[in-house]
Amino acid sequence: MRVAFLSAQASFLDAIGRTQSQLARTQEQVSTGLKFSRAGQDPAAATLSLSMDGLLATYERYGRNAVLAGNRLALEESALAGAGGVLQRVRELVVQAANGPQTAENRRMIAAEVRQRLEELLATANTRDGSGEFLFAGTATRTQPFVRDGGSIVYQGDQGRRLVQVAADQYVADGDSGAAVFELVRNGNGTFSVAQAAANGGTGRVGERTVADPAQYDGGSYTLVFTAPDAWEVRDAASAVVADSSYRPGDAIRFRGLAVVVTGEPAAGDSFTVAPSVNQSVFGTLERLIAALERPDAGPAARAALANDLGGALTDLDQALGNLLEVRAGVGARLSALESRQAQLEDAGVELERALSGLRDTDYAEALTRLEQQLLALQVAQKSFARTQGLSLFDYL
Amino acid sequence: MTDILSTGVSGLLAFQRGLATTSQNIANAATEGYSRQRIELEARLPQGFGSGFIGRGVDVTSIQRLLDQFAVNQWRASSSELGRLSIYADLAGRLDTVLSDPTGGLSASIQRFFAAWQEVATNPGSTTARQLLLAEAQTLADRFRGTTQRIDQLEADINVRLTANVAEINTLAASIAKLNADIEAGSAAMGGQPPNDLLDQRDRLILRLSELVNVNTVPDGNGSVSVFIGTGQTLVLREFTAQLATAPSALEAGRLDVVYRSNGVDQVITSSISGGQVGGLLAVRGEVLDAARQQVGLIAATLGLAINGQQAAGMDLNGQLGGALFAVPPPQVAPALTNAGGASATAAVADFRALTGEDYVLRFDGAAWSVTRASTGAAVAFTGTGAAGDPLRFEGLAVEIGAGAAAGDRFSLRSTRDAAAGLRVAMTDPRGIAAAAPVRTTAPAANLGTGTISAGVVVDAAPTTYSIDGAGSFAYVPGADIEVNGWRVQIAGAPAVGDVFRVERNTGGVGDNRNALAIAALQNAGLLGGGTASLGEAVIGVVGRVGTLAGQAEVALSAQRTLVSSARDAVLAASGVNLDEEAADLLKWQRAYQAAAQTIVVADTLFQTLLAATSRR
Repeated sequence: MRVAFLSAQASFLDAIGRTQSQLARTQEQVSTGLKFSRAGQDPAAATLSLSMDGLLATYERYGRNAVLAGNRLALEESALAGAGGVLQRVRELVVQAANGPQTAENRRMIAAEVRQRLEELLATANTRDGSGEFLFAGTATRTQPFVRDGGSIVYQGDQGRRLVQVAADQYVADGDSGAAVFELVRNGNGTFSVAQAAANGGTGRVGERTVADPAQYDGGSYTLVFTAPDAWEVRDAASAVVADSSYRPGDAIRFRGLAVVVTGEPAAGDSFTVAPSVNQSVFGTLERLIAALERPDAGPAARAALANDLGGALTDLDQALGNLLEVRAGVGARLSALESRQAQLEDAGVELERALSGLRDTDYAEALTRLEQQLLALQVAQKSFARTQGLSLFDYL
Repeated sequence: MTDILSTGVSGLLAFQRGLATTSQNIANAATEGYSRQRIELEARLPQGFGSGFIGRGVDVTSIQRLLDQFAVNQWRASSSELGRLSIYADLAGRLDTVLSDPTGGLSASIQRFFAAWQEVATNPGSTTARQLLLAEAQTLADRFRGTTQRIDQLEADINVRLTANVAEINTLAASIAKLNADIEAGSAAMGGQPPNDLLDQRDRLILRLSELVNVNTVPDGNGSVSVFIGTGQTLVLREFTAQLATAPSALEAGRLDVVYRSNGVDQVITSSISGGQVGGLLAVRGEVLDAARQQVGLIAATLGLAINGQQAAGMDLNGQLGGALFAVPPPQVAPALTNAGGASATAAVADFRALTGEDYVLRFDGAAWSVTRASTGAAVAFTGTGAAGDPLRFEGLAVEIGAGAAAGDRFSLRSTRDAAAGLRVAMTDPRGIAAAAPVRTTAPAANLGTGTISAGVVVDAAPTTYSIDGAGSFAYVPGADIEVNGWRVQIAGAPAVGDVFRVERNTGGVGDNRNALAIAALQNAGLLGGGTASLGEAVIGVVGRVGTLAGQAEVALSAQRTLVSSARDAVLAASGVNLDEEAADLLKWQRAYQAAAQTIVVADTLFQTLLAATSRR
């Protein structure tokens, strides 16, 4: 083909232009550290890296949520530990008060300490977190959850729990409502409770109370009546006798799947009510305990009544402690779930960043080699143009 | 002897012409568009003698330019495509740059907006988190507006370029027409000899014209060339031209159409123009800008309406049901300028999940309305009559049209195209963010059973039916939905006789985040594309689409550059000046000239010899 003067020029300029634009592209990759700066340069990789960016941001967000929830749960955990300590101490005091004869002075001192512990528990239940929100108010976090109202402590919060998202389909509660921790505690042994009638004249004391056969218990209220010092009968709510027998101290009185041990010497006409367990606030338990301790105990009947009340308080306290333990176990489980989720998120984040880097970041070794090649190509084009253009027939004319 | 002399002189003259042409070629070796010229030599008619014919010298019959017309046509066609692709790649690349911005792009803004909702969800009582959320909402709205503004700027840029290109086309057409006249006149005056340099000039103008717009050329017998554009509209016919112009689009404000103006009649030829820079401008506008604007608008509207909808189902810090976080522009419905009737129409979004982002045309045939898509003209299925209370319902929209429409009346309906530009943050008070659910449930301490109640969700923020407390006694199915007056709960476990569960207003629930979680969950919900795409995925879809178009254009552009180079080389192979060749020609004509001069010397010598022989001393 004929090669025109202009054609050689233009082809050379084309080649230079092409190589220079490739050079500029390589240089951009090297200087920005990115394989592409906009989607058009590699649409597939660019859209993929955008969604990976999004995923990465989501992981970071979940991680932050997990940290915040973890902080709150740790705070709750320590509050629960404090409350558990208080109840444990109160339990010791009850045991102390129940063991052996105590002077009225002693009991007043014990009552004073229980009162002190009650205040401590109340303060714990009204704990605030770092941002001034109540820890145990459910979702009514600006409402003080436990306040005194007409002599007793009532719950003002709600029963809501706040969930925090730590994965696309995993939500973790970052607390428990005060109702669940302090309010909704079944009294007695969790199934039923036994209380003596106020008018009892004997010294009958309630000991062990167990559910021998849950299937037989119908959840009803019953009254255990001593028709004579050595005979008892159990009546249901309609006063029908469901069981009766003779009384021997220390023997279990069995009816409807329940077993109640009575010791001492009940008087004829003494009665005990057996009622299904109801929810009783921990504060209510402590208040009743204080009232019992401060009651004068002149005479064996009053001492028996105190013993029965202390026994009842002990079962109630054990229920409260059990409930606290259960809540704490839940908190611990959630904390460990959060920890493992955080570790997962970190691993996934590192993995994702590596993939993203492979997708998006310049491979410097490759890019620099390419840069060298392109520079060489440019030099070769320039040299060969100069050489070929140097030849002309006019030189020989 | 005289015949030797005249033969020699004819040679001298011819070779002079040859030298002149060669030096013209050398002089124009670097002239763009110059075609090398060559003299055509022909032996003169010989004189007959008894013994045969004796030649009488040489004539220059013509001076021709050397040209490969096929290659020239190839060059024009490939330049036209190059013009189209370079504009396309340039503008699509600019939009691509706007959309791909990894930190300032829409994708990142949506991420941060929902991250701010998560922050509110983890700390609903915190004013700081709420303020941060409002700030992120503002940033997001700004980003949507910024993106549409960049698209609008590109559209304005296209308008400027269209106007400039059309003006240049008109100038070129006028120049070509004038050259046609000059060529015809020159050729006629010189007995049909080609005015080579004028022809070159015209070819150069036509090449430039091809870069602007795809043209067809047809030569006629007189040396003129007629130029046609679009679907055969005549731009140049001999020395006559038609005018192109730009005019505001009848359908869309701020948009220019290309108009063909002939004999005082305007004809919109926007859709029939294909190649060249003008074709590139129109293609990038139709394929890239419009689609991006439509998608971005749809995403903005969906986001705004989805967030507002969930806001309304929540409770703010003041204990009120949540107000709108965003102000989302409603669909725009406008009567056609040609409507005979005086009916007016209003449109609203009925179901944002069904929106398509399309524009529609509503047409009245005198009895009923029909709905078509503006882009394709395809019919759209709808329900309703359009009357008040019974709106036309289709693709997530509800349109009510007042009385007074005449047969043939049309309305244009833009569903969400303006949403991105018009998205505003309507909320100013951070307390207005509805992080809490408005209902809460309680299992009172007096309950004896083990029944538990779920937290309760709002299923209808504005219920239109009610039920009366105390109605019925209903069979208990553990875990089954209990739905009353717009809220829903489930009760599980074994409630005892007489157990009570309270569902009540969530008074004081400032730490509740149920609604914030519901809004945060919208980030990954399939709100678009019939439930298939989340907001983030839809944005990535737009980025990917524009990126793909820009990338394809760039690849095609670089291939087209090679094509144009080889087409140009093919033209230059025939027409370009090769200096070595010209040097050889120069030698050729010089030697021939010297030889012809020598024949004149010989003739002179012969003459002198004869004179000497016959003279008397």
